Amino acid sequence: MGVVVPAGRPTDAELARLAEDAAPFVRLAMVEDVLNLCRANSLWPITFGLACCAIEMMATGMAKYDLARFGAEVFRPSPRQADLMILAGTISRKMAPVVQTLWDQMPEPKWSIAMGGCTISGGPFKYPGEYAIAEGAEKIMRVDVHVPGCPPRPEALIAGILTLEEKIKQGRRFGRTR
Amino acid sequence: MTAQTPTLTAEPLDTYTLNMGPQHPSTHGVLRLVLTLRGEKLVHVDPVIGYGHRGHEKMAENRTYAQFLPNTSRQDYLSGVIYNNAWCEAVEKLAGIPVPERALVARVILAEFNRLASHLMWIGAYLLDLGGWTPQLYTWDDREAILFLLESVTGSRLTYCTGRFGGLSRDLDADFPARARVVLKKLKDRWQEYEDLVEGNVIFVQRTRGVGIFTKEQCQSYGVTGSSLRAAGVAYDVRKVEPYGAYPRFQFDIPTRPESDAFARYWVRVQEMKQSVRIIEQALEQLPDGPILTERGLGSKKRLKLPVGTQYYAVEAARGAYGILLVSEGGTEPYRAKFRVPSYANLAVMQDVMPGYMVADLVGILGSIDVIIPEIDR
Amino acid sequence: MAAPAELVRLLDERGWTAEPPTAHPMSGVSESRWVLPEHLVAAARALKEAGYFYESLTCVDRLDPQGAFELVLTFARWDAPARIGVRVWTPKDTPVPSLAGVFGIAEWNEREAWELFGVEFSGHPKLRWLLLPDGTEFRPLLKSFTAPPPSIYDDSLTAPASPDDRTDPDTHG
Ligand code: SF4
Repeated sequence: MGVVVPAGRPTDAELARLAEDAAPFVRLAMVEDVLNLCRANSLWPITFGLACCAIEMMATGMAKYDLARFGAEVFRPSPRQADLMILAGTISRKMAPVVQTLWDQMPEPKWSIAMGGCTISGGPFKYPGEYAIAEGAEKIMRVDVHVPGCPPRPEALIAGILTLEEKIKQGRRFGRTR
Repeated sequence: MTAQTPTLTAEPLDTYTLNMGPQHPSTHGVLRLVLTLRGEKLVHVDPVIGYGHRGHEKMAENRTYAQFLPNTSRQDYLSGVIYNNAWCEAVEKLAGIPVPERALVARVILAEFNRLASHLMWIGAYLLDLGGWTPQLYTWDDREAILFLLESVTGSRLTYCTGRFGGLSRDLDADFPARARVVLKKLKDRWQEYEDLVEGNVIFVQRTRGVGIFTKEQCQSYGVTGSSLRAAGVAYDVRKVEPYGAYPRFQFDIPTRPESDAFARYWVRVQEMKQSVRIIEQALEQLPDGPILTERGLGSKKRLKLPVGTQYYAVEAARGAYGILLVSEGGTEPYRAKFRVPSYANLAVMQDVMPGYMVADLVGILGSIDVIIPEIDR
Repeated sequence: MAAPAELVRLLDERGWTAEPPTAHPMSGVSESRWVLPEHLVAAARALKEAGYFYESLTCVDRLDPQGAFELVLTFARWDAPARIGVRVWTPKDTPVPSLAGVFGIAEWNEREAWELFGVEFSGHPKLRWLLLPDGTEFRPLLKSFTAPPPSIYDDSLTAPASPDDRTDPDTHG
């Protein structure tokens, strides 16, 4: 059969028929959706470990768990090349301004994963009168996905990354943009 | 020249300052080094620490002895079993709690496996620092085998908390020795591969030979311990000098090397892994039957009260001598707990060692001493 | 004179040791002695010459009426199971002579004792913050310290002050 393009300016009815005919072959989506699909499948995390959880983050990238299967293994040493910050470890009060600076240095669009109890709420180090840590990463920046555990297993981190990928594909941005 | 003329003589004009860290892929966490350079030469190195300070020592005063147990394995998370055992042993010693034979030997087995895992991780990370990606995949593969084994006993991969006052919370199961031997066999088959891959590598040898030399005076002045000290020709190992737990029963050597350079530290760690395998093999042979926790069940007793006193207890952790100074005033909580962590001294000595080297050697030297920053910052 | 017993006898003979101000026993060391602050540097020199290394420095807030700290230093050897505990009793606001000129690591240990407790060390090259952020005003390891000033990093600004939920040993743990 094939699609016949009428000469001259098409009427609305003709356009509708055209779209119907092309539907099996052409996907009409917003460019942003396509971009999000690309972004979700090639996350570049920043090489950045704070404490114990960082070891599990490294384990996730290594031989057995192989984060490369999900397209998120290109750990970048520079924040300017990264679009994902995996907050792995305890954020101390001395470190908090540094984390904030790193986050600000990352270009938009960017996402973050709070890995482990420490970055969710202060975790094991939170108690009345505690003086040394920031009680959760959300005190200083936006967090997209929380992965609980102390430390979370590599499978948990992978699940967190997959959740984030879903979220990116749907084009959703939550919370503050800071 | 009038008094108002601004002078810049405070800083010699031919040097400049470079900030490295706290986020730098080769600082193993959150260390910051303020470098003063003349051209490419290091003139002054000033480590800035504290970016991982979590207040463990204050926490210890706010927790009962048992509640503090999980914290110990989060200080040096790469040798969590050793730290966990050390806390238990320090408390046991002050409280006079007996430990069953089986638990003593099982602690040694777990601790040595943990030491192996820690050294393997170090080898991978160090070679990555020097630019080699591949060895890391091998060492992590071996490490995962060990972690799988430890997980079957302790239930966790990294932050172990199996120690109890008076033994261990879980027993080694019946097929543990068989599974452990499989892992040991796998490791032993790998030694040759590591040697070929690393020690025969011209780039590695050239980048590590003759850099980062510690003198014995520096080691004494800073209290350097662990593999870094042994690579400087001093056979100091707490397991031998002040034997604790079940260590006196086992035969093992202390590898030393006189050169004290980064290569020597690599070599010593590899030899130490072989000795750890040797210890585990003997321990598996000698593993006695019997209970794993003392009858008094102090492992779960929450209101454990310790007699008044100050107690120092030292063990050999993966990075050197780890010491716990425990002050008890007779309560259910420590009055004060101080942790003498090996990385602290091993990093502090860098101020003296580094000046004079090229900036390109810095990562090679820093990596070779194997520091864990949250342990230093506590 | 490397053996701990001989060494402490030497310290005793030179009159560097003091009567114990408290009765707290110390274990885990071969020998321990109380040393008067003014003799600390000389004692450390003697230990260094005898082949000991500086292992640790612990400050203990003893809550003495006059406000006294106990400093516990341990020294050990590479070749023998010999550990010497050196204890110093120092009233608050009285500087202790710094050992940074004798042992390199003392510099960091003393900075730590200064920032966490407020112990002053005389002759220290750089008594600045080590672990805490520069400019921290409080001394967190003092027994009188309860909480830091409210900041954006903790929940104190958003949540009402919680009662002391220090876990009951019988229900948690
Ligand atoms: S959550 Fe647990 S494992 Fe992770 S950084 Fe905090 S203490 Fe360490």
